[in-house]
Amino acid sequence: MSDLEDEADFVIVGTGAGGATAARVLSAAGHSVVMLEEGARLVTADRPRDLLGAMAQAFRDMGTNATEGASPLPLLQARCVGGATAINSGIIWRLPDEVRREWSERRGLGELVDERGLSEAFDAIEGELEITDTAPSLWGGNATLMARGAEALGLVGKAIARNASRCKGSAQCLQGCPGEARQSMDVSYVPRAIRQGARLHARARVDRVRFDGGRATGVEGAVLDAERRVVGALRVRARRAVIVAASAVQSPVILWRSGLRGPVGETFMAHPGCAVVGRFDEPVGMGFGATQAYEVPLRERRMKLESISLPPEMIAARLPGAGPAWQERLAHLDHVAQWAVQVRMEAVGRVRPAWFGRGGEASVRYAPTRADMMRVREGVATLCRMMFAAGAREVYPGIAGVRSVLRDPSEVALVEAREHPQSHYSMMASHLFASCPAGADPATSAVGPDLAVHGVNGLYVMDSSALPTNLGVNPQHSIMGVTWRAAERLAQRTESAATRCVGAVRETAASVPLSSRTGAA
Amino acid sequence: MAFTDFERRWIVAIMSAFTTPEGELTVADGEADYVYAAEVMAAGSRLKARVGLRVAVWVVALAPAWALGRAQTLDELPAAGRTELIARLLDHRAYLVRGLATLLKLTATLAMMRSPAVRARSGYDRAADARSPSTRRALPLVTSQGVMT
Ligand SMILES: Cc1cc2nc3c(=O)[nH]c(=O)nc-3n(C[C@H](O)[C@H](O)[C@H](O)COP(=O)(O)OP(=O)(O)OC[C@H]3O[C@@H](n4cnc5c(N)ncnc54)[C@H](O)[C@@H]3O)c2cc1C
Ligand code: SF4
Repeated sequence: MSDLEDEADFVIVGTGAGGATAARVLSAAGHSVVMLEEGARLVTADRPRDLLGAMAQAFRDMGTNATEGASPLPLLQARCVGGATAINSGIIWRLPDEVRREWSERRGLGELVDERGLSEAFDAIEGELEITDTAPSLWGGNATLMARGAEALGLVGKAIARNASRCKGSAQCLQGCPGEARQSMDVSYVPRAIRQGARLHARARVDRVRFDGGRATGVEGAVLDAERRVVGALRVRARRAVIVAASAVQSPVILWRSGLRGPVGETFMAHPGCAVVGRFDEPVGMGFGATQAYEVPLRERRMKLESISLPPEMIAARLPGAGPAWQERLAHLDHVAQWAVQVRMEAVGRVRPAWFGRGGEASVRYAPTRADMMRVREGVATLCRMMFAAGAREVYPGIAGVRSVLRDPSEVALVEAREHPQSHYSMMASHLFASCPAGADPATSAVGPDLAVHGVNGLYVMDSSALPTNLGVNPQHSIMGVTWRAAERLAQRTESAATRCVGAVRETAASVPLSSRTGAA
Repeated sequence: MAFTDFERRWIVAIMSAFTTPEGELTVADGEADYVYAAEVMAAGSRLKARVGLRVAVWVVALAPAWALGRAQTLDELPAAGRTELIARLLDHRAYLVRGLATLLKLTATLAMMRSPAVRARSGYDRAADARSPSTRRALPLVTSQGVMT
């Protein structure tokens, strides 16, 4: 057995967009910080370039997790230092102002998402993570053709802003950036926090939060080996607070396993999406250019269209059929383009710990509404039209029951001719939210305006689960910005409390009993 | 969850049947390690997905019986018959069948593209040689700084 014991002012569970940002801010303020991460710390040079190896190393459960029910929706997540930022495309969007205002007015988060304060946080993050618009020289054929298609249909698109100013356009973000150009958390805020004195324990899975007299005092869980077998017990004491930042799926599971109930896990939201593939006579060269470089935001229609260059394994599987026709298309992967639609769905789901399975496994219920599915159809049809407008010879809409190969723009009507159930699309979701939503009202929110769990002292949630709703834009920047604000305010509060007790007892909050709706003991 | 010997045989029979020797992009015997890909998928997945992968292998391997009414397993069909049947399963009206066949197709492509030779034949990495420069030059580019031409 190799047990692990440690102690710090702040114990942070998870090193993704939320956890790493919290560690960066709190360690900069001079607090001792321990980061606990279930996945491994990856060495860039050792990250496999083939998708099978990359998935085995960095994806949570090989990307096979999905929602429950008759039409499972795959949920793509990472399990490694850096969380999903270690495999994402680096797209950066500030929190849209109408969403900010809604959170402020309806959720009582005015101070947390105060316009000026949040804007300063975004400015700081954008400077540190080298945010720039993707230069035209890095668009590659995939994004260039998408721009051509959008323009032909009169849609307004733009270069995607990313945290990768030194991007070389290798289209390998999913396997990890080979030159560390993309400023994912594993190469930015996690090492920065370590330089500022934080400690990182990777392969350290937290199973529950420990309480003493209504106050979170630490966490316990398991130390894992490379095969994720348990090789020891984990016990880390938090002198000031535990910050759960394990993602919109895992954070509510940890809180549930810790005895917390109420709205925890009750309001899971997402931006599910699907892709359309097209074949062009001219070469496209999807493997050349930034993974994602061009986007058409359609916020009023609750959707966003993006170019997305994926590894050949995924594109090959997405081409229709089997046998000679498939092989003919497979032999011309350099002529294939792929664009996706992500929908800001109105559906609200639920997350719980799974009944059986290893620690931390979740059961997610989520069913898109009819209106959501109409938007998916509208997005797919728009992408098909854009493909033809850009010059595609064949378009593969990827909807069961619809002709798998469209050869003429008039055939897009087949997509629109009727409604298609979710199970007819190849959808997936990687933008997940709101399972421990923030808000002033404990009846409808799991955490308060400072992201502290209602009714518990010394326990915070700072990740995608704490955002009160989905956004309609790519989420990592909003997660980092909101976390930055909350962590900064926590650091200030802790500092002022600490100076009041001049070097004596390090407790900041008086112990109060847990509220009756928390079963924690 | 190790696959049994006959399951391994089925995996090879199923996954090699996505391609035929007559097709444009061929995969020679031994060029793609399908069993390895299936084992890596299973080892890294949750119990539910591991069971799903095994169910997929069984459902497709036994498809000649339930889909064609023949007392055979897929590996006992002639090569062309295997490919034809798999293509039908990929388009099956039952979501479960379609989904399981697609899972095996993805596993097959994960194995195929691990082979540098197969990947090279796909053209994915074919040099970009300043692709479609005319297209690129003709486009006004809208960025957050404004329109660039
Ligand atoms: C393929 C992909 C592409 C994406 N592209 C973009 C993009 O371009 N732009 C964008 O804005 N967003 C993108 N996203 C979404 C974005 O990456 C996520 O929304 C964001 O990373 C979520 O941050 P988080 O902190 O909530 O969780 P995560 O980043 O998922 O981090 C949570 C961390 O907690 C760890 N953890 C979980 N449970 C435990 C436990 N019990 N004990 C210890 N550690 C635990 C996990 O291993 C993980 O490392 C993408 C996501 C994916 C999967
Ligand atoms: S496209 Fe390639 S070089 Fe650019 S950020 Fe992604 S992995 Fe890095």
